[in-house]
Amino acid sequence: MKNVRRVEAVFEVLRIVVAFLVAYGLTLLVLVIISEDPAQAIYSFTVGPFTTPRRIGGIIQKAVPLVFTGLGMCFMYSVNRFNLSGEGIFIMSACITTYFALSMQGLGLPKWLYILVLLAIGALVGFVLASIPAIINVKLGANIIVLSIMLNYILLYFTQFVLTRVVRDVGVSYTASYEIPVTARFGELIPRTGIHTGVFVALLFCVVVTVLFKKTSLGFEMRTVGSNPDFAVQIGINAVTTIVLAQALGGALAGVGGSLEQLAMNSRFQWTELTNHGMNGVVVAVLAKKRPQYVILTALLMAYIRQGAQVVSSSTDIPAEFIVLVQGVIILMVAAETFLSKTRNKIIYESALRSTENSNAA
Amino acid sequence: MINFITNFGFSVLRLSTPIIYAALACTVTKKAGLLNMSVEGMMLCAALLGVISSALTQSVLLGVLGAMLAGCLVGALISYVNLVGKSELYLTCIAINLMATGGTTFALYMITGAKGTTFSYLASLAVPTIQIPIIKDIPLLGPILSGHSLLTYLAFLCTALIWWLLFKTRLGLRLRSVGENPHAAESVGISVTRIRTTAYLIAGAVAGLGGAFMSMSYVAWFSRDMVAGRGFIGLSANNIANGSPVVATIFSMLFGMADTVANILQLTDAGIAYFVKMLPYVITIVGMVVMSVFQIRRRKHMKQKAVAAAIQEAAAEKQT
Repeated sequence: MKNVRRVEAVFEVLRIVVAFLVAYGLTLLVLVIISEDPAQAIYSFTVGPFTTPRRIGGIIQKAVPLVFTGLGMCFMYSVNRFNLSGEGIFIMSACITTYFALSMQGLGLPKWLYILVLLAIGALVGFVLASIPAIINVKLGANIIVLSIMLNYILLYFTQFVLTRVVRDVGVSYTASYEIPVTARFGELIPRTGIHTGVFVALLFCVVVTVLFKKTSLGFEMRTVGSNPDFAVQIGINAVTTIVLAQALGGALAGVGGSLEQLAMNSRFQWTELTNHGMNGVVVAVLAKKRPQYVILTALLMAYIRQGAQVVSSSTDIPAEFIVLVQGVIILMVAAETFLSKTRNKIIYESALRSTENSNAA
Repeated sequence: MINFITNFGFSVLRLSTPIIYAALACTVTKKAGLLNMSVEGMMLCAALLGVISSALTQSVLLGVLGAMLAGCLVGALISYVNLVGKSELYLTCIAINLMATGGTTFALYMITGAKGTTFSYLASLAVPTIQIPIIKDIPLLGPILSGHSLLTYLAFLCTALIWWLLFKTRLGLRLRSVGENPHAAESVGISVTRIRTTAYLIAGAVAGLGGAFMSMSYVAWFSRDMVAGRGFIGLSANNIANGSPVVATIFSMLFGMADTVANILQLTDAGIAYFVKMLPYVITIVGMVVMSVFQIRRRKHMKQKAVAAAIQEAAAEKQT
């Protein structure tokens, strides 16, 4: 039995690795076919992200928001609720953060407190918003996927209202908010890499969430409710509270991610569309097997691929969008249960056969 | 004033068209028990392929058929991964939507060399508009109802067709039984996989028409992300309608009206326009809440009735 479990665990990882390699190989193949200079394109895609400090910094930069939305999705998955509101929360908290960053300008807060307050606001926005579909779903049984997608569009249009009516800087020719004061923004950590001090916040949250999942009673309750709600109720866990709380915390993470991205990467709020950070967070969480301790790895992996695509598009005439092929194929293969399942069953069968033979011989 | 009313009515019908197609595509799969989150991706692929095939063949009909084929192919891919690969449906749909958004943009850039639209790059065609002989002369109603794209009229025809398909044909009956209870359907010899694949192919074709409307009627070119959430509005219309194609069409028109109002307000008061744009989504959430409350009440009522009946029966038995 132990053997079977080990084979299954190894296979889970193997499946993801194989899916990734297949997708990566497929992308290289596409690059070769469409590029006029295949060697250059492949070099740019694979090695390109590591060639200059700024490009390496770009990987880190791109990984940070994915860490937050990925961790957020781990919470949703832990209680088995597919709450997609992270997408809308990300843009919403960036917008609200901008508003408060601008309105608190005159207070003269020290930098650390200023940023801390803004991140807390982002977390609060996410906490409240993610719990709306969560509560409707758990109390009334309405479909959480549809609810959260609807919420995302409502939030998008709300941010656009705030952008055009409240925070818009009419002095610039494009649609953007006023500039957020420098004291509220994350500074550059290593010069000329674009790596910002927000990286520490991301790392901190990785550790905190992992500990919360593994070492606290809330983590245990979430896992129990997620895997067996009836059993959870029997042993005295308040399932409704746990389900809503887990999703609210997931939303809070996406909220912090949105705030941090705004304060670290952009001096003005100027998003006019959903940013897909939330959806990519789903990819990151699925690749990390829905466990927070692996999120940082998968976020870096996805960021590396994106950085590669960016290098390719800047050094050749191939648009960076070819990268969605990798993402799409990976999710489709990882999501498909039957992918590699025959091989797995064969190995489990054989190992079981062997162990019975062994025990017979003994 | 009369001019304003006719323009408004005309716009409502025009803007409702893609939403109706999206809602109908969702309805077919919903009846088969599947949430179709990927209409957005289906429509986007169809819009692109419609432009390409009409430009290559210089035939409107082949262009529209190309768009429908693109929708079907996306549907086939989803059903393959979902039913044969046994993946979780929502994850599959998210992957498909991401791939459709990026993939169409990629194709667009490869064709045009990093321009945002195919306008002036591809000589694609538009679906003809139709003047209805007698109706067009009726005052007020004429200018609203007449002069639309052929695809707009087809959308309403499709509503009837889908209704007929779902409620009057053998396939429809099987489709609904699979949606109600797949295990029961399986036990009487209906292939759930085949029925659900069929549902996805039909949904793909219908969504394909919606995509064709976007790139061959609404405008006559393809631009990136041109479906712009209409697939999801269709999904919400279908969700409130709870699987009825006629109600879904009515809600699609309501949402099309919200779209029209938002477009008008955009010119005068952009701030309020965003709140109007929210309406379809707010209405959907409220609708879902109300429906769920009713369902819970009804279930409770049924349970009470059953309990009361059981007690009566027990009492009657005791007497005899």
